Amino acid sequence: MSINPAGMGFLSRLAHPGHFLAWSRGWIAPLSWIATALFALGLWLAFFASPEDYQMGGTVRIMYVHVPNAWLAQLCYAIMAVASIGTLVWRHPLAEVAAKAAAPLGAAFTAIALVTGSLWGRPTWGTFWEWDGRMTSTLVLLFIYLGIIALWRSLDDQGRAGRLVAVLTLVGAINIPIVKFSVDWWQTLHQPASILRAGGPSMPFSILAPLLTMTLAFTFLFLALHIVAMRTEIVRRRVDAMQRRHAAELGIEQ
Amino acid sequence: MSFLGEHWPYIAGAYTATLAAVAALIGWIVTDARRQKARLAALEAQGIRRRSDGTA
Amino acid sequence: MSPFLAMLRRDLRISARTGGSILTVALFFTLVGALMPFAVGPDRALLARLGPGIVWIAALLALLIAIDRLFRADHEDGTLAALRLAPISLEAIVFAKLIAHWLLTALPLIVITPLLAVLFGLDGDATLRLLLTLLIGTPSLTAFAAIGGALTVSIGRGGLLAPVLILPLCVPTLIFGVAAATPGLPGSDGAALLYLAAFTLLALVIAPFAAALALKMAAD
Repeated sequence: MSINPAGMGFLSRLAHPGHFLAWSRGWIAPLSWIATALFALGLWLAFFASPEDYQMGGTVRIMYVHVPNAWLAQLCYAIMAVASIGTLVWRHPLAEVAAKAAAPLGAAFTAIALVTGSLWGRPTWGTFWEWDGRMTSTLVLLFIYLGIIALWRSLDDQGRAGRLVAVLTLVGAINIPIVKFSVDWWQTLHQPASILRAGGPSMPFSILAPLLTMTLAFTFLFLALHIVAMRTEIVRRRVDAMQRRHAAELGIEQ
Repeated sequence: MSFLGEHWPYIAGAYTATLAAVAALIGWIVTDARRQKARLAALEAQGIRRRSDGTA
Repeated sequence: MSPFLAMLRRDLRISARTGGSILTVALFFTLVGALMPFAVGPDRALLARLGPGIVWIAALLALLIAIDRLFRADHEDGTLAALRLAPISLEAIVFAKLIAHWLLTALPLIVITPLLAVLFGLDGDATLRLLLTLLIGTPSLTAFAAIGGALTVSIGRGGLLAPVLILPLCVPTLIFGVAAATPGLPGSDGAALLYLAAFTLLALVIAPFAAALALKMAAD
């Protein structure tokens, strides 16, 4: 079994699922520990070392969980989009796995962003939901995520599924900025309301610090979970293939 | 929790919901991982090999 | 006759023979539109205000239920595979099918719209605006329907999956279409129509390529 022919790029070497499994194993624990440490620091900063916002009051603390999840919702989709290109253009074997593993994670983060945003909205706007540009775009993003997951689940042949989902993901990728634009435009049409920003015109460091820390914490959490999910998907496909081959052999013998 | 200010139920709610969701996510990912590894172990115990492991 | 026009004629002819479903889609559109007042109340002012939006939603839903008619039959009886050997590209074939589909499903809706406009108490100006926005906007809905149909053509009981996949993508069309059709919205007039046209053009450019790609994958 040839391992690393000289001159092969990192991604090419990693393309073999077996190599990925070996390589990724060592990353899970460190990423998890870093995430834990960052969460500890972030939570301490969020509750004990940061002031209330001059506009929002105490509810600014909700931003420390809302913003990271909203950011991850976008990051996950970006990863899925890049992976989709990898699937369609280079047929990179791990690209599909990466995309499939990222989808439920992205959907979860989007949902958390919506719930926390809604809970922030209640004391701020008076309602649990406001059709403002950002929340509405996030809602549409959630629907797109769910559609992608639905497509994954409805195709039996996972190899074909990967490529079809890649097409859908890329069509969505082109569409999402337009949706965002149209929703923002629509919102200003119906409600020229100003959107409160955490910290007002400029964000003081005391609010920026917990925000960035929590964002990093969530990102490392995502990285750890994504790697685990990718490894699981690789094993799942191997097991499925083994079962299919075994069943075929039994069928041939009989 | 009054040190959080007058809107503390919403702040507490947001963090609780996030914690619950993240815990559920981690739980599901880990459970799924264990389940697949168990399937693999079960198959290998039966003597079923991967094609690339050579002829059975 | 060019292969493109031949393809167009073929789809139109087949549909002429099996006429039924054009009527169904048109009827569905009419019913959804006509049923809305039962849900929102008979207040004339409210209906006039909501009218364009309701007609647009009805059009969107009606076009979604017609998705399967684009590719499924041809996929199942092998025509699609044979067409790939044709002298024109699959993208061109998809585009021809797109045009045929629009003529068969969206055009009837546009023809019926004035009737719904009467039901909602829209005046002449509002009705004309509505018709114009539907004319410009529905091609993008057909384009996304083609993408959704192509993605799900290999799934046996595709059912509601294709609509679920593409509904979020149709949000800009809905936003710009209704905004352009609703007189009196501040700053809406010219901009909305231009955005709508731009989005439709983009959708019409993307759809043949995305759908053809998906169809090729489904066949492999």
